[in-house]
Amino acid sequence: MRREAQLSTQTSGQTAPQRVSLMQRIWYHRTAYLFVLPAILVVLFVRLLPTLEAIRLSLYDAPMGRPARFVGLANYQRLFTESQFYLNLRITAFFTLSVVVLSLLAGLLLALLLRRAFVGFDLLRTGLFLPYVVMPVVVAMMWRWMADPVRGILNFGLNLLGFESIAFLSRPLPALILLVIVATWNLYPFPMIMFLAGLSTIPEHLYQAARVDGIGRLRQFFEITLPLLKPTLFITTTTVTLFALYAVELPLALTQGGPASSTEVLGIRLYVEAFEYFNRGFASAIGVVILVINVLLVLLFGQLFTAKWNR
Amino acid sequence: MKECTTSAAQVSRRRFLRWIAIGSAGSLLAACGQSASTSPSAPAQTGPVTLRLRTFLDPRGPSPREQAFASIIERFQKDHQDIQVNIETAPFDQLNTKLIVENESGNVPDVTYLQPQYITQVVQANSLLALDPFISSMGQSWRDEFSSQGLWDQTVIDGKKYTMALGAHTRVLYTRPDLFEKAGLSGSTPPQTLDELVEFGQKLTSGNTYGLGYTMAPAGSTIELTFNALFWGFGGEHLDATGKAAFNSEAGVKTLDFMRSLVREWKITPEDVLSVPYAELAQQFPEGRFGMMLDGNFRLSGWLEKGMNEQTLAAFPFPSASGKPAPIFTNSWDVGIPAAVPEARQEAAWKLVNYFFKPEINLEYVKAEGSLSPLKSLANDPAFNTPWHKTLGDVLNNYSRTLPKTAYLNEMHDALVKALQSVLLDQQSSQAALDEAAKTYNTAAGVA
Repeated sequence: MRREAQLSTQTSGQTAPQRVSLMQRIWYHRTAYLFVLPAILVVLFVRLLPTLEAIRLSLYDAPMGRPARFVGLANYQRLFTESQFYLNLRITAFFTLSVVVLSLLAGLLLALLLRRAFVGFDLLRTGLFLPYVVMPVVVAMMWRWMADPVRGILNFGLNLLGFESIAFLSRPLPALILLVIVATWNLYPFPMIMFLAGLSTIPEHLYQAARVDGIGRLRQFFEITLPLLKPTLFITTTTVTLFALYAVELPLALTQGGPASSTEVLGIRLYVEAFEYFNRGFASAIGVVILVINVLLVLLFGQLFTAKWNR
Repeated sequence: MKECTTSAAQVSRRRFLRWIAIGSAGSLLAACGQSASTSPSAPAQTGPVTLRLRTFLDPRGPSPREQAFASIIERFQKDHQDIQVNIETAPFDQLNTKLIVENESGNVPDVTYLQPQYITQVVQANSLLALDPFISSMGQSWRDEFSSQGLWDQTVIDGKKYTMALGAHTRVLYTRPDLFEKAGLSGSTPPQTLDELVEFGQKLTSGNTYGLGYTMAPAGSTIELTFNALFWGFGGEHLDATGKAAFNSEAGVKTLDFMRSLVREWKITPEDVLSVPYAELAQQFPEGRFGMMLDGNFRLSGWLEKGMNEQTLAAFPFPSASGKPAPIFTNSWDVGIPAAVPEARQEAAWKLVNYFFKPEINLEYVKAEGSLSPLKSLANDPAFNTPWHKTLGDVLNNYSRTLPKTAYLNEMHDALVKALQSVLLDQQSSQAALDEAAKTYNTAAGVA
């Protein structure tokens, strides 16, 4: 702005600002744009162009190895008229909502517990972060073995307590609950670290003032902590939601979508259509639907976290 | 000051544009260089050839089959000094799909293992080379060496032959004679009918041991192995003459009802078969978890390595309701040449494929694998003189069946598995589940 103002006074000798074209504005900030250019190119080629290509492909019947045929909205019509899609949608909604709520709660609780340093704090924090760095496939295999009805530690514990073994992965509800638990276990460290960072930015004097005023801890949490965590909450909720919505490896490795499609989230459906059936057009249609859901959710979160906490 | 500013801006703009031009040219050169090296139209190779062979076998693996495989490749390279072989491994259930995906880019191995029952899908994706010119060049006597017409025909699509079967895989009912004796049954007398299968299973079920290991996990192998063994025994057919689903027939209903009863009523099969992968289930048989198990000949060598012997392992044809052995799914591990392999390399690739069918090589391979040789000259080899191989040979020659040739086999299997599991979980009746599966298949195959 300052440079633009300088330009206007130098070129015209008048104080009123000259009209500056877009190209001129870009040229003035050329160094900044040069630095940002690699990131823009990455977003363009890795995100935007493939997304546009997926939208285009969703309008075609495009089996792998054969010529594609334009079919308009036929893929969407097939998707919205089949019962399997709505089953996948319900399961995805349950899975996503459960994982987001549980991992945010767990992350926030642990962050609150860890915000004050104590002996062994670093070790504990590192240990609690470990689940996040383990690959989802490894997490799934580990929990499969733990849930094994013959040799798994979960059933060993149940037997010790006098209960009968449960074939967790062979029953719909236990399989879905186990999937939620495993996904939460894999994801909670991310919100934990985000909330720890967010909590560290809250000035301590606010809590001191609150204590002086006789405000209890619970009220401090709701009146001070939560409002000031709003930006962190927005980013974390959005990110965890996207992780859960796009989950493929974990459910695929843990349950393969079974038993009887009871854990078949939309991500698995997309994977099967794209990489087992090679229906690129139909799979792209599923991908576009997931994208639209994501966009709507991000907009919703933006409204929710902006409107609710603005006072 | 204005002039200085202007000339400084001009110099700076020129320098900036020069940087952009150099950078763009450099990127373009790098991209061109890359595309030349991976272009399928690259010039033909002269001199020594390095072939890429893709398989699920790890040449450093401990199993007899993997060790035999590694030895065979080493001998091939000794016998063909101008050909080197690089082995790439991939999960067995991804070999076909990887080929279809990679064929789009032209970055394919020169020779690849494939599952023949899914060949129609691979051929329809134009990913495989027809082998007829090579086979013709070998002469009729070479062709006549292959014993099983069914095994040969399973990869003939529209009159063209696409892959070669390394060894025949069939399935039998393995039993534990030691557990039979413990249960008061004769270890040498197998169940002859489905009623006897259930009766024996109930006698064998005790404590942590179940009568019958029978996979029902969400995988194609469930349909190939356990569903089809009953379905064909009940007289069922997967597709009708027009290519539409026909498995929602009385035979299909009987099959799902029987499989449900194994778990829910007779309780001779544990509930966890709905989720435990087939290969994991097979590990539990030598450990004594099952008194009987339907499985393939490829398990044999591994189980024998674990110490099983004639006292703890027997093999019989799988029974059917009629008392005659049930038709059983038979296939093989095949080798083929991807369509995108350049013409200059196809001859070398065929040499590698053909090497597996030299009698002494094929014998070493199938012995280690526990399969049966596709070659007539090896049928009476002493290696196949064990009690297990006699049963396998009997089943292969008299009761084997291959799957219908459809490019939508994955869709059919998934639809049938969902139907099976929904019936097992009492979510639907067998007829309703099968009707839904038939509708799903017909839609996917475009024959609705």
